[in-house]
Amino acid sequence: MTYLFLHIISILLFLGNTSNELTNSPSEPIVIIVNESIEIDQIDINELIDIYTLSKQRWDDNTRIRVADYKGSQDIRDTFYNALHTTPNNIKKIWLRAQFTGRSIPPIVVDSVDEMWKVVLENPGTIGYVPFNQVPVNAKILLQIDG
Amino acid sequence: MKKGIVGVLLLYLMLFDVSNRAWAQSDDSDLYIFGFSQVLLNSKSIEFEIFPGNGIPSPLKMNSKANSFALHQVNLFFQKAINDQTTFFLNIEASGSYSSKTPSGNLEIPEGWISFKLNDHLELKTGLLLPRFNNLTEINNRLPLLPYLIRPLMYESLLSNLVSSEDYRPKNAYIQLTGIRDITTNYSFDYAFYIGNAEDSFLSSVQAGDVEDTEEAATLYLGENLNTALLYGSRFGIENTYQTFKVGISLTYDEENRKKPINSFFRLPALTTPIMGEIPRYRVGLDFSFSIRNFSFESEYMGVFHDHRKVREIPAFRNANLNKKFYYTNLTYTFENDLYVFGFFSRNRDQTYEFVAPGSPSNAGLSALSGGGGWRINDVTVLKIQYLTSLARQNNYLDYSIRFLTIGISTIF
Repeated sequence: MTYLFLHIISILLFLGNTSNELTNSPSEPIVIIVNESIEIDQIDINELIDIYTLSKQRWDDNTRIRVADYKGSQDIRDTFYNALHTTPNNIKKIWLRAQFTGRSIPPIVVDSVDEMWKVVLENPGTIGYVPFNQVPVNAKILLQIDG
Repeated sequence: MKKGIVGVLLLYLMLFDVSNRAWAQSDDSDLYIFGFSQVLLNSKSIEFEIFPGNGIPSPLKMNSKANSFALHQVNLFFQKAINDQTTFFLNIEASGSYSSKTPSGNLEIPEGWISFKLNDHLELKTGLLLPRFNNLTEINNRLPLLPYLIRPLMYESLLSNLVSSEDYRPKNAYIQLTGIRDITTNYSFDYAFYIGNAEDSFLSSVQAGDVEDTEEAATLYLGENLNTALLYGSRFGIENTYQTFKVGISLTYDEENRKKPINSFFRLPALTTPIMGEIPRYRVGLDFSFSIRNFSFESEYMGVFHDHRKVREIPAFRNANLNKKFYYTNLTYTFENDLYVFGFFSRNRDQTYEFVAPGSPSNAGLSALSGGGGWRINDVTVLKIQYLTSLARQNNYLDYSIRFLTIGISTIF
């Protein structure tokens, strides 16, 4: 029985070694971008916390806020959530609880900066974040966070 | 055996692929479909001894060991925003490797409700819903949110034949009003009020041609509540923005069903309570949880108190006392690389049988001690391992110990 448990664990460890890494220098600033339909031009860190903890789910014009985030353990996530005084794991717990209890729809999860920009561009109400040195030319920027 | 393991792994490889697409739905009016599953391999060892003098002439001993795979639970959620204020939510749950053919496990709809956002701070839900009672009741069947595989006794469906969880906490409600108010920048006060049916044992199980009493003879449909008393409950809590500090008090009022003889502990013939009717019941819940650095602490208490005045007017029931309590505490430590370890302790005590059989196992209580760990393989998959030992405390009737070694995977899709 012990052998069977060890055997299963070793297979799963092998399967799990597949996550993507999106690196971001710890000192690299991060920029908050939104879909151009959103009628505000700036946001403060407390509002950003309310949005990413799902306390605030509607923009002022009543459009539903769609939160976009990166998949996996990536440096840019650590930097972003560090600026929000929390961790990716804690935010994920909050999101899952909200999602599984019907209080929120699932977040949009992306693999790369290009995909983040595409999602923000194409979906009204969407908010996301990208590294300062990769901000798309036409992006609507609400806030810059120093790394 | 090898084919079974390969099959489980292939299933999970498929789920990994599906998960990436399921989270990408994005339109405001979409129907969102998502869910999770948990599969486990459990190695069980049970030692059971009934002492002589309780209807048996000599000690009855039993040792049982078993290894078993199970699709512990699969939940499928459907969520749709009907308009800006109204949302529909449906939860379909299959547990214990459900199959109607074998048969095994259970299939049920624990939730199907519609919510109306009355304003930014107030929401009304109606339909079948999980009520707010302590911290875990609302999420106890959301397995990916929990660090362990086998839940504390009052929450674990696989152990429901040992203790009826509804004796300690409400199972569902049909109307719930919830509200939240900021009290400082970082802390908010939340509250909930709800109404539901009385406990499940009041629900009609009548079948055509199988009517045993007058109330069931008047039943219109299976599952109809046959009691005039309803469940009334509430919870008041305070939590911070990141939900790393949470404290709450919960209260319910309903009636306990003692209209039939009941034996809820190990089916010992000598430990059956007589018919007492419907007994007013108050449940009090306290929950407290916080996280500091990599530590997460969680605890709950449930106290169940009855109004015995009416039943004690009957001489034979002068010493009757149906009160119960349950408490649980868990500590989790998370390492930097998505690994975590946990340990929990729980205990319940039930005085119900003391007036008919002093020194009952229920009053001695059942304790559970568990430890284990987990590894978040990726955003949607957690590998968990757990050891649990549960013991009946010293009593006049039996000795009982359960040991589980369990490994499993939770996957969100």
